[in-house]
Amino acid sequence: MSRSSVAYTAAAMGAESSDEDLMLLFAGGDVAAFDILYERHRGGVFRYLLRQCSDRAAMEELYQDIWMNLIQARSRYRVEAKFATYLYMLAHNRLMDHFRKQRGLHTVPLDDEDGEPLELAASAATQPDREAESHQQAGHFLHLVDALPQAQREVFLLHEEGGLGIDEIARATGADREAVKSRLRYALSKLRDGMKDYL
Amino acid sequence: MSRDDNDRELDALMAEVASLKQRAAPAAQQPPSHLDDAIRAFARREVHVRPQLAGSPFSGRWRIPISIAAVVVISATVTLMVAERHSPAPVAIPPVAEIAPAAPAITPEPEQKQAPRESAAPERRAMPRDVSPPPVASAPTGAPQLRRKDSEAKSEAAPSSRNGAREPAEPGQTFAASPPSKKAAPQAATPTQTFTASPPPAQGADASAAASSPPSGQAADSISAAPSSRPATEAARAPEELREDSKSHLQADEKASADGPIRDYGVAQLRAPAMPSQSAESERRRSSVAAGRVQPHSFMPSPAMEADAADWQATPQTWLKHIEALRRAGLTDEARASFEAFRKRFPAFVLPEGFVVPTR
Repeated sequence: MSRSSVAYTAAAMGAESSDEDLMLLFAGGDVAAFDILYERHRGGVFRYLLRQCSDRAAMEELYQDIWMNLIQARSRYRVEAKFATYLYMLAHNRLMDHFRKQRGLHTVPLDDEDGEPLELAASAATQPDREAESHQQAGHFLHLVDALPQAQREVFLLHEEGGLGIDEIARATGADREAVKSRLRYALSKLRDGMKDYL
Repeated sequence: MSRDDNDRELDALMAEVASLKQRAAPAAQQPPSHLDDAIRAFARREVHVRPQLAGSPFSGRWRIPISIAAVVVISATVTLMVAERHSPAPVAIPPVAEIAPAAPAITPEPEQKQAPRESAAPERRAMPRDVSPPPVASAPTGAPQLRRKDSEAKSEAAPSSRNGAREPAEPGQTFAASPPSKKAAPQAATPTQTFTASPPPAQGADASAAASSPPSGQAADSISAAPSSRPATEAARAPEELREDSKSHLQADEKASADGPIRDYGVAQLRAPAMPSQSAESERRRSSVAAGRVQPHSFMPSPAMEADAADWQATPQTWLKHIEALRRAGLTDEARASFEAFRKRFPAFVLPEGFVVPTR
């Protein structure tokens, strides 16, 4: 889509406009387009990071970095895939950078599908203030998510929070399509088995 | 299990877990408001500060190459200007004329001396500041002028030095007086104090030895920047000897500066190059050049080097290799800075598995 074809404002387009159009408008200088875009994806990106990063302060810094990278790279954005794929690709890369930096301090099995749960991923439900607020069932579900190996958890979160399909997850993470499918299947199976008591 | 069955099973799993998730309904956590505000403010600031980026033809891939080209052009210009500023100042008289007072009795050979004088004349015209101290500064302050040439003049006197060094190499012609010496000698002889600044006898002997020895003449010939026959001799001497010689020259300068206003001009002009550390360094470098160990002007960055710097930023892979090389070389800060720049430029690039992100 050429930039001239989207020479209308985000306000005129309203909520029906696609993410890609909004991003192109933002690249053209329309800040209102960014506001809509941000509103759509802020929760998903935040939870994607929250489930994978134990350090809350570091997670918030990552969250800010991802959006700032997106803002600064707006002029280079081209519609080659769904905007969500692009956004979560930035998020994935930034998260992996963070993990690699932490590698000296923690063991981060990036591609371990069947390994033990990561120590890095904090259980949000185990934090007292959240546990008090959370429903028991919801807390258990979150705990199961946190207990997933990192690669499986990421694929699951990209699917659930980012709304990405198999191909889009493969593109965002740079992984093979079959590997993504396999990780997602493992993740879903573990979650289903873990929730049996609540069925 | 076929591929379709596989997909169907996965879809069923997805639906099941989605319903589970809905039933569990974990509280949808949202980012705190201070983060939202910071990000929205950043977006506004970026759009207002650089609104032209998106629409500009130089906004995308051309911005960095153009910036690099501009930096290269500016660097080259500045380097040329600096080199020109430190380029050799032409000497008022050819080297043979400086030696003339030390060996006045030698037979002049006009046809041989005319050539160096003619070669030096246009250079004098080109640099008026050296013409202003007229003949008085020429013959009597021969030794200081030689030093001045040592430190400042790098390339200017090449033809005259060749003539001054090669021709006297023949026995009997060592100090063949030139026509300029005829002109300069009377002027030099009139003020009595001019001889106080003249080189000591040992230096005259030194110069004659330098001019008469064929190897030093060859050495001077090999250095295009050598201004006179002296460097050729000095190149063959030990550094300590050169340092001593430099000190004695400095003392001669100081002594000469006390003698009168005319000589003050010459000494003031010559003092800066005669600083011991600078002259020792320049002589050391010159001797290295003479010995073929160092290329003259090797400090200047070659265009190939600058092109290399642009090359490794061309693709993410080459850039990452460069970062890896920096990290392995122990330049962690540079590697980290380079990586941050890389991430800004290629935010969507997936790093290879073995790549180690440089950290503090």
